[in-house]
Amino acid sequence: MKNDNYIVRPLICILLVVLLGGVLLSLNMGKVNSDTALLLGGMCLTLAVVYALLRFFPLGDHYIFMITAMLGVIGVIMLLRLQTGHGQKQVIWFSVGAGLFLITSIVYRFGKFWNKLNKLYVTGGVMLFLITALFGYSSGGAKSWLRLGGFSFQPSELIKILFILTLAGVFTNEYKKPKEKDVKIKTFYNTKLGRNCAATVVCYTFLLFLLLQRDWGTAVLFFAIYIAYMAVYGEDKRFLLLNGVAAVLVSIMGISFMNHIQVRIETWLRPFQDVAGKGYQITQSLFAIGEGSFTGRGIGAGSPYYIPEVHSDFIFSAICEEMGILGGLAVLMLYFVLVYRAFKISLSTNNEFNKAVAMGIGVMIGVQTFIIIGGVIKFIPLTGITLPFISYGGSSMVVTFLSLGILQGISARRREIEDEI
Amino acid sequence: MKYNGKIITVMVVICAMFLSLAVYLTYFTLFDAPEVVENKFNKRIREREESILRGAVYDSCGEVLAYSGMEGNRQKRYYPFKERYAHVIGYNSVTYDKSGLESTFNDILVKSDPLENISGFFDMTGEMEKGADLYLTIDNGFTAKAEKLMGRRQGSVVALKPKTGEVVCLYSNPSFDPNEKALEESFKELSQSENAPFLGRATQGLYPPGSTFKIVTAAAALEENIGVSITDEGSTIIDGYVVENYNGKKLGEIDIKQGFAKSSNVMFASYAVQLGEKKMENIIERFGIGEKMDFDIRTSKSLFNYENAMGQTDLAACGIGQGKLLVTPLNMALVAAGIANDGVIMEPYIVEKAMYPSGRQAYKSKPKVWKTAVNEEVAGMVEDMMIECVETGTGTGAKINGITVAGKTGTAENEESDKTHAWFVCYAPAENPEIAICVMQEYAGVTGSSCAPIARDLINYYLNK
Repeated sequence: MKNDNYIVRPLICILLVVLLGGVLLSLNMGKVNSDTALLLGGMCLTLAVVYALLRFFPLGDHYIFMITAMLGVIGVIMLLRLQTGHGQKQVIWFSVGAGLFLITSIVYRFGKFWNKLNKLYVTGGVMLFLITALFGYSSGGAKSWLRLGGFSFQPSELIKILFILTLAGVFTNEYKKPKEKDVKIKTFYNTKLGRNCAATVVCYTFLLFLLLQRDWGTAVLFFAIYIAYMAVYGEDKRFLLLNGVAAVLVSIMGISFMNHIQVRIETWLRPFQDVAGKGYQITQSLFAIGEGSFTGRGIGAGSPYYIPEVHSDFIFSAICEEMGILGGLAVLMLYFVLVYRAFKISLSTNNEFNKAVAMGIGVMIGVQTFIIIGGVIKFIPLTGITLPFISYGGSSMVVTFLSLGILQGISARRREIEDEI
Repeated sequence: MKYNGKIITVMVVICAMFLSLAVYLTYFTLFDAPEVVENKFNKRIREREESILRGAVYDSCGEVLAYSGMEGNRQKRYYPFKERYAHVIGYNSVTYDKSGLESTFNDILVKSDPLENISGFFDMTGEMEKGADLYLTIDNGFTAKAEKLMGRRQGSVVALKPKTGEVVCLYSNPSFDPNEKALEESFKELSQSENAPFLGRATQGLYPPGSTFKIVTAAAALEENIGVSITDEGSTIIDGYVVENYNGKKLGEIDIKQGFAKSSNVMFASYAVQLGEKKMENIIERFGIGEKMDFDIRTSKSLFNYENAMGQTDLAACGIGQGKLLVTPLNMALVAAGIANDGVIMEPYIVEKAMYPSGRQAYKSKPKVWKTAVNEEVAGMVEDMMIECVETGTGTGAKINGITVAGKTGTAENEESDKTHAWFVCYAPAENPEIAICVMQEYAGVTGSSCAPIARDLINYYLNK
């Protein structure tokens, strides 16, 4: 009986949030029509089904999906409030993502070859970058979008996962005895120095592409993931030092020569100097958060539409305006628990490759959240990047679900091993 | 398993990042946000204001000078007298923000009665709340008269009650129509116009005071007992600088009273030189020139711009209101008011009170002493000189049968040599001053004498109302 409560309670919480959000939306804005209600109901049903599947066919960690579902629901309600069309599409993306999450977790769990596909990951990443460079188009300052059929997506989102898999492979693969012919290369590759070099080459290649796309937020994220891997697996302080020096050099170069980086630093330090111009985005965000204060103005009762890009990068400011920073802190807490689960899975799995992958995913979600939330509250300079599961956008949603699917698979595999023991 | 320790370290770092976000967000909300949301670029302020019907503005006789009404579901501000109060009440525009009292008294105009709010909470009729109304000391009839008398001439008329500091009239020309539609249509043109119609000349225009400044110099000379008779040859040379009377007129043997009434530059330039920099600076400060003023609308600080020590020529020019001395018409009206009020300058104010629709008072101003310029005795002597000026001197244009007017004319040289500014400051009746007036016309040239008759008509109007 107690166990049943444990299963149902998180679902009830989410249903309550949906209900409350829906009621507030219709009261304050008269926005919830039968279509939207149906969509919200469908969303609840989807996540109930996915959750039930996870529960009753033990497929691993129970928390990941619940946390994600809560974030997704908050995002959908906020998007419905901002622009009904976006909210409705987001429900679809969420459902697609949830399905993909389930499939990925199963596929990842039963595939035993994930650590042997290193070359494929790197080639895939580079290919995707090349395609973006050739056929991509710009949106919001970064030339990082591809159009495929009717959909637009950011390949760099997918490359994030390939990058994590690559680095995990580089650092954890044990090579069988090399054949006579290329003994030297393989031996070198098997040493610490060789691995560090390989990781560095991959990382800097990717960074170069990202900087060419002018996607600074994602570049910082990639670099952070790389540094985390180097800190754990590099076992070489010199590399960390060199990377530190490189980062400082690049920053100095950027600040002295790149106009748009100067602007970002300037608006970070003195946003109110040019409220109508350069500082417009960040000050509108601060106005929204400030007006929200602790408890918020109520869903549908605020004016988040003054903030540019409020449905994607700045959605956290809208949450703070209407749900207060208490709502904002709750969202922050959800991300934190999600990151914590990733690390927990990483720490408790025995498979070295999976351990590294899980850590990478934890770092990715943690740092991405930090970069964008820190940016919109003016804690750090603003770089455009999406807030996972909440920001409007298919590719971010789907890819983050994909990475969590891998995490879910790892957690299930961990259980199997535990069961065997 | 051997990497678990380091993975935990990475996790701790990420924990710290999240914690820092939470701490900063809380810090921002507690300490920065209250100030940030008051920024005028925060559009939510305007949104909040829109939910309360903006209070009206009345003159001292209860006439409506500005009011708000609903047009559809939007508030609209009406200014029935258009140009007349554009620099006093200002405008309240979505596009161009606010000016004048609309800006400085915004908080009161959009604040509904806090007591009403408690009962209003249970009131479900959905009637719109109203902000407090402003009641001004301005007299619409007087201002209308001033507007008519000034006609097309550029300049300003300032009138106030010397005993309390209540401002009766604050009129500037050229002006503009502050009604939203008119403003929106002509804003660009107005802001680029050479005549600078957005400049409220009465409070923000800076001009050399010319001979009206002799009131100040005379007061200092009388205080120091250096107001001796001189022989006026029409011009004198001080340190190589030629000081000349108006049209080079020779006034001959004159005492200070005659010199003042006839506006002898020779006499007052030499007094200023005798007084020296310290004493001139001191008297100027006591009359509030170059001092910060806590007024109900924005004012320019009059300028006394001598960075280096003043030479003799500087002193001579200063003594007759030329040189680097620049004043606002309001400032000169206050100089006259100070003499009228036995040497004490009352702090000027425009807003008498503000009332919530319920009749409860939201704001009330009280007369306050601003500056003590000179003692009663000196003020009395200057008054005699000012009366003499109107009786027999340059200010005869302001003479009224049955009313003693004390006044002083002024002709101020400026950057355009042939078109001097014309001034006339006065108060009446001298025995029991009811009103102090400063009439100022820009680039009036030789027609400067029209200032005194305007003041005369205004005094007549005010005292016979």
